[in-house]
Amino acid sequence: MRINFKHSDESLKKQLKKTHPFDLAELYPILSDDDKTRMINLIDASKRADMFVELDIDDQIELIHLLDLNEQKGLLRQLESDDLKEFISDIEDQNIQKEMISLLSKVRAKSIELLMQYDEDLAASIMSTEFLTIHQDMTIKEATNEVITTSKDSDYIDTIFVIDQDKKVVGVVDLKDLIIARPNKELKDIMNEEFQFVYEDATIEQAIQTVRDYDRNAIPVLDREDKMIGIVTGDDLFDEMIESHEYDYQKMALLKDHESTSTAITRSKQRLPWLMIAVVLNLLIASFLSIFEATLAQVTALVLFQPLILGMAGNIGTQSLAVTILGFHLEAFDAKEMPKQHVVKEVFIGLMNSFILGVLSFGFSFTFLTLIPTGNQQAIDIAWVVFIAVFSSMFISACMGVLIPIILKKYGSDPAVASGPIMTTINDVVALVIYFGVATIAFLS
Amino acid sequence: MLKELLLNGQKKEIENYIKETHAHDLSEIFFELTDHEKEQFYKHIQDEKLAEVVSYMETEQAAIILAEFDLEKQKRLVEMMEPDDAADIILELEEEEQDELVEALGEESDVVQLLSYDEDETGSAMTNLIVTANQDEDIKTVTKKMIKEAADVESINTIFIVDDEQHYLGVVPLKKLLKAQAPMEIKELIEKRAFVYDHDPITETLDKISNYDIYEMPVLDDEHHLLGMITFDDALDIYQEEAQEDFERLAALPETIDRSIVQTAIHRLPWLVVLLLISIPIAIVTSLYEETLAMVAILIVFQPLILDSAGNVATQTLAVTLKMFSTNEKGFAKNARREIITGMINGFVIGIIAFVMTLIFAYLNTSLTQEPLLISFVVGISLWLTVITAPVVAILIPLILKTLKFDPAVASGPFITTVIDVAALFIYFGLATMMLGGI
Repeated sequence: MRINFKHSDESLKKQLKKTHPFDLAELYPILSDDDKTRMINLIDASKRADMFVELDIDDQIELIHLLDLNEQKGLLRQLESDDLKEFISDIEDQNIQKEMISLLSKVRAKSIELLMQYDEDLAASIMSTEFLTIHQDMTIKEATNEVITTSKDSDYIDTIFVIDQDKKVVGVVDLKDLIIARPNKELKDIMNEEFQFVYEDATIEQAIQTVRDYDRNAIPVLDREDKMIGIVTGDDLFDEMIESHEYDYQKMALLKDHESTSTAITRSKQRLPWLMIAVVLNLLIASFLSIFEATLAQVTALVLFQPLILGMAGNIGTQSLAVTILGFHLEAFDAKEMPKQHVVKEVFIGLMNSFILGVLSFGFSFTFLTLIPTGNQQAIDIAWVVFIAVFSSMFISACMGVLIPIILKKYGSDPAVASGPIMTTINDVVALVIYFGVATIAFLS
Repeated sequence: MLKELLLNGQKKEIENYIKETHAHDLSEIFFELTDHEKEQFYKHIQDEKLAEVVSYMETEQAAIILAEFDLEKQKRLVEMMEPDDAADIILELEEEEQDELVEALGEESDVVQLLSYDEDETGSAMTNLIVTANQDEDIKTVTKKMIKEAADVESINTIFIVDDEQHYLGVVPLKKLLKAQAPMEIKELIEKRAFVYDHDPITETLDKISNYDIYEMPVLDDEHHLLGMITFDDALDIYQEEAQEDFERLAALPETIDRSIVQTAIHRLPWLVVLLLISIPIAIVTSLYEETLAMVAILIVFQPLILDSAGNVATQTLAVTLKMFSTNEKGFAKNARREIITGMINGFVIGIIAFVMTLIFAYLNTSLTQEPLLISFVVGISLWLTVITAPVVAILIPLILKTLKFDPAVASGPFITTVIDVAALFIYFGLATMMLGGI
């Protein structure tokens, strides 16, 4: 996509018209101030709003201040309630936030305040309050008319929600079914009473799961009295899903906010904190190692297998950690409770694989020392120490990989923290203490 | 509930229950049934619902169940499924059964045509059950046609507009069509919308769907003929699978499928054994420098520091590189250059930190060495050098694997970490021998 700002307004307008708002939003931040003004004046109001939604908060604030008061109000009116809420709650400067809220109609301001009360990880925090409800006693014809005449452009009408006198949701009708039904039938006849929804205290993950399981494009959010308070649409859930997967992936790799467009300097800045923490933590390991100075001096062969033991403990820990974090995504187990089955399974797998790897390491270290004799100890004795160290440090690391993220999640922390350097250090220290501890007992006493 | 009904319930009750329950829920209950109950279940369920239930299962499991039926019924079920779901399931069948079924379905079948696409291509996930209209048709004609076809297509929320030669022109959202006043030609309502080609990588298509918020993404062939669409629910599922795969690769975790404990353990074992095997050179390198180590024992104390840092940096670069491969992003050389520069900067910074830390540590533990400054130099410089080497290795290994037509993701985080360990030890001990050898 190329847009030439040297062209006349007339031709620029044509080019902009052909461009998707998402692409305009990608383009906007790199434009000069003059071109920014030209661009937002040449696109129509609804496209401006669609593009606005895709921008970062700083660009959003800048853009809105390029408009006059009426245009500002118009822009905010065009936004869907969930996007508007996101914009307002992202503004850090309290004065600007107040200024923006003052531009909203009273009703709108109220509903935004309501949305802002919900926790970030709740589905209700990303819901939209623009939806269409229809009373259950209507005929098909009345209902169809209602949909066609009263729905606004921003309303989600692919599914229509049917309510009773008390405004409780009693069923849903897909627009498709409404269109093909015979006009003289009652809405009740074609309504689907078994419909999927989430309550206002459901998490985003639960909403994603529901949408995926039942192949819906949107689901209603109900309060505890079964009254409908909003809908969560699939596109918003998709964005959330991508964000949380990217987050976990980057955490696993000790990355932060990586974008393929970032320059080397940005990459350095983002990554250095973790690396520095890791370096400092390694001082701890160094201190631990110096405790065993005497053992190391006497049993020089121990050094040969130290990286192997640390590496293997780290590897199995990574595996069980990854399975557990994926489990959260797939909602294979409930976040609030201890997923007993998963823990038992992983612990057993840890036990089995640690044992097998322990035996293999035994064989390997014995062969190695027999071929290349090192130090004064018997090869078989060193091999036993290696076996014990590999087996127990791998097993402990596997257990930590499962338990730590689950415990973190249970107490409301971020389970992905478990993939950070602190965990690695703990695993390393545990492995070294076992390895050199056993060696000290075996050879020095 | 279903279990009891199947054993004691009346025919009518069972049939009603099956009819009223969502196919997704049935697909989960199904696996709790005994063989006898399953037989009962098959007797009472309509083919159409059964096809739906099977579509909701994991493809491997769905294939096993499909294979239980005779060819006639297999064909019937497959034809009732959405073509993209059916194609996924057929791919999981045993080769012989696959061939038989494909032959029974015939060349012309939608499913068989989808099978010709590679799994990574957009075409493999598309459905051709869509409503199309010619640009010259009147909105009234289109509305009638849509109502008539509604029951047989996946969605009528978008009507796809084509010209006389089936070239794609744009879409008309159902909402717009309903609000429009006849008489009017449908082309007046057309909206331009992003589209994808059938041979586009599926990951690119997912990007477009999420960026442009498109619930029904049109799929075209190279000559711009409209072939079908990708629906939103399929996009979500495919994204979930792709994201999971990326994550598993990074963690050296084989594909996670529900299996018994022992099977899962054995499934994960090969990687661990490979990692153990590639640790052997580490021991060999260390034994080469035995003399240096015996003289300068403090070197061992800082070994984990060097190895951990190298591993961390290598994993960072690897994650970025693998992501680029899996999303088919362009600009590989540029990315590589940036990663290497990043490594130089970061190596320099943490090299200095490590230098200072080592110095303090050595002064506090004078029993360990008489040469604190020299040791600190060795640690600092080795760290810098290894951190520069790490991104190079983490880019080269996946690249070489890819060029040799191996799966680049064989290089997982743990794999790359172990490889870089060998290089790091060479640098560290080598440098130490050079600088401290005379002591």
